[in-house]
Amino acid sequence: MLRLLCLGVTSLAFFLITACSDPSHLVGKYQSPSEAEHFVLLDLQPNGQGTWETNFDVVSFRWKQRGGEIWLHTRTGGVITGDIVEATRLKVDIPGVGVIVLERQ
Amino acid sequence: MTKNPLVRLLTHEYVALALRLYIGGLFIYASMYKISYTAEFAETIASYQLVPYWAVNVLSVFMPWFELVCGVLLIIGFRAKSAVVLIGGMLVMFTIAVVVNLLRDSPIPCGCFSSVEDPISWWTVVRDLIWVAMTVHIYYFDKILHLENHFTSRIEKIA
Repeated sequence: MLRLLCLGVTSLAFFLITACSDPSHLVGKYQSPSEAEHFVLLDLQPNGQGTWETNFDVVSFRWKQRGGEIWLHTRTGGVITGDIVEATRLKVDIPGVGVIVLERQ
Repeated sequence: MTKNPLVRLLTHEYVALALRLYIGGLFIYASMYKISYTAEFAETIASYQLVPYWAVNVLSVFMPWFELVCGVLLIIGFRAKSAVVLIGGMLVMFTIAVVVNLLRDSPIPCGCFSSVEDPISWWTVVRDLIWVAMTVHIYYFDKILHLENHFTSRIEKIA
């Protein structure tokens, strides 16, 4: 009985650890407002890939929703986090640049 | 000679089992993010400035899998004593790394569970030392629910 209980607890813990929320509602394109200082076009694709496009370059990344935040993981080991606001806006804090608000298109 | 009830409770095998599941689960959980984002973990290792540059990438690939295997072995109770010694060793190593960087005044994140964390503090050291103490408890008092015992008892029956 105790063995069964431990097996159940362990299985539950494993599923909870590996579980993640469904981020499909975030898929789409987000852009900085026209009056913003920096132009940014963020493309979140359904396969978990994405691109961050500015006037200078295009950076590809993997994205994931973690609670009320979105995490953008670049291939070079950088990570950028942003707050999800009502699933239509993303507030991304870029080191050295500041907070950039992106609106869903 | 009968033991003090509090000592008996603290050294009880069920307490050791709970700690074993906790520490094992903790290491499995900690490994998940690092396995998924190896490049970020390499950045974290590099930020500690303790490892030679040629070893950073090797460690960032090898260490999370090592954590995962040790965590799984600890939870299922297969070579649990060896697994807990290895986990304890890793925790001691992590604690030393954190202490060195605190003495250097480096405002780096711990990188224990993800790349985006609060900077290390003496609380990180206290937390790690509590986990080290838990591994010592597991080493000495963990006796029950070992998958290994299930197999060895079967082998004894066959023999």
